[in-house]
Amino acid sequence: MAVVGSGIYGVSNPNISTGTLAPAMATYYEKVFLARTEYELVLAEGAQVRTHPANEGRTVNFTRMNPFTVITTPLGEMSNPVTCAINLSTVSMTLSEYGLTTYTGRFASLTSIDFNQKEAISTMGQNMRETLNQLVGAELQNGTAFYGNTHAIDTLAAGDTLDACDIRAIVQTLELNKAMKYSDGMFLGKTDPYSKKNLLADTTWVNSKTYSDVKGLYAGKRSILPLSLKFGETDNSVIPSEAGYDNIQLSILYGSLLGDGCLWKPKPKIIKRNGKQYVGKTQSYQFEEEHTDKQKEYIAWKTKMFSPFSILSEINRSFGKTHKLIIRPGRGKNPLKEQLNELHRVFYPNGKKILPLGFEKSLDKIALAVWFFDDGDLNLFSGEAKSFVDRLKLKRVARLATGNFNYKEQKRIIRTLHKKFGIQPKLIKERSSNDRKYFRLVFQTGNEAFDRLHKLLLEVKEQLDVKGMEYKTPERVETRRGRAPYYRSLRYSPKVSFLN
Amino acid sequence: MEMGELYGVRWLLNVNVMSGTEATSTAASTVVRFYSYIHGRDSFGTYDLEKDQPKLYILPNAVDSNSPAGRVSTISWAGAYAAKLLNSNWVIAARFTAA
Repeated sequence: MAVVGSGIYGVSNPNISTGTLAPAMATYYEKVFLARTEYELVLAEGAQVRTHPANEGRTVNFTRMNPFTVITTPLGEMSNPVTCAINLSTVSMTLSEYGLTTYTGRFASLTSIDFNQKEAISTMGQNMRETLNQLVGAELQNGTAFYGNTHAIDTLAAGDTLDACDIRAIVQTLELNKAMKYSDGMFLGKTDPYSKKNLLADTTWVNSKTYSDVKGLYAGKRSILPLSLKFGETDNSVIPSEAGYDNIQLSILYGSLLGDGCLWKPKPKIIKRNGKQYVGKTQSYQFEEEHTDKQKEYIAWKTKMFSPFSILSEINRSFGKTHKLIIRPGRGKNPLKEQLNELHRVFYPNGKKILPLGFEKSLDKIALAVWFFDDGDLNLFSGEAKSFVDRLKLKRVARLATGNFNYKEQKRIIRTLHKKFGIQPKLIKERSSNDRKYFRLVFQTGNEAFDRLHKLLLEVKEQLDVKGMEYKTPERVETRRGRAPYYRSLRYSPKVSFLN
Repeated sequence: MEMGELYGVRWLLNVNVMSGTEATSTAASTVVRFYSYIHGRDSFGTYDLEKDQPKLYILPNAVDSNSPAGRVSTISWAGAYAAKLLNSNWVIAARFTAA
């Protein structure tokens, strides 16, 4: 018997895999590439993003007017205020070209494991992001210098790592320099993994995550509306009204804007006084949504969720009674106003509603559920149903009206639903009564697309106690004899339990 | 990647580490400095050019005068781009050491 781990004595086998390979041996190439690191354009986050028009030169000069000197000395009687020259600063930006090329021979591309050069293309895309990230970083290095532990350039020592004291000092500098905060009331910091490691070990940082009343403790507000409108980490936190809408309210607003809601700014009022006309104050953005009488419970629920900033009114339209919800942020500068402005900026960048940038990050469970409650429906699949028996065989489907988004946006929606929630709807094109083509997303029952959506809807409905949406969250009926379960709507549907 | 926030600063992680030494007259100059950036709104901008925004160009076995038989595939990216500080007082370029 041969010894385990050694060759069989006395037998000469040419097909061994050590030394020179025998003809029958071959190197195996795993047909899946190893994972690559993919950089995001983190450093460009929070920048003003602009596109310079073509044929208008490569250098752009920006002009900033510097603040005037504050005068605290009282004016002498009958004297004019002192004069002060306008002080302007110019910032010059010059565009440059960047790029990189790689090439592959036809033969190599046809024999390589990189089918259609997918991996090579993806790696090139990564290089573009890395390069642009690096360019932004190089420019940011020209900012005001700060050295760890408020040391100087010459005295920075090995122990000068990032900690909470440094953040305090930096914030102080920014505030003294009158730097403007983002709409969430925060400055933005970007750091590397080394400094992250040190910061995460800092007791103040740890405590800020441990104590519940972080606001009171460190006066660092929780992120109410992060820059990229990222609601992913929705919690049930109770946020006082003066701090702005909480994450749940923002998710509801986000879902409603994807659905039936809209943001608009009323025109300033014309005030007539003493025979003259005056233009009133500029109004701020307000949210509006209108539903028919059938959905009055649902719109009343939404109104309650935004109380006390919401008003619900009844309107008599030609087709019947409707209920309109209006959410107004109130007077003066306040976080609510800024949040609505931010939402308007992302949803209506050019005046027309679009699928916003950052949708992939911002869409969370609540937003998706509210979107479905607004624009979704349950229907019999609109296929051919000639006979009564055919109708019985038809499956119930859920549909989401996404007709106001273009084809590319539909694809983004599908990708996001798949990536974030594992829901893979089908995109179908339908024709309206006036022969206009539009898209709809269809979630067929009997497969995971609807099962997962249904679970999510029920979860949100229960969590937020959503009213009036029973008919969009049908009852799941388990069947016997190994057949797939089906869904029975609680309204608008006769009992069809005999179907299975 | 979101890290969290403290003292009114929301922190993001940038895995594209930027570090280096600085020319000083003392021994401390040998310490490698790692850059972190903290800034406010409208403090810097990123700009691209209409009709030449950075994007990928893929030519699979294209036939042209440089490759008359279409023997080469090229993958490129190119575009015009610029990043610019609009107010250097509103961007803090902080230097820290690693450990």
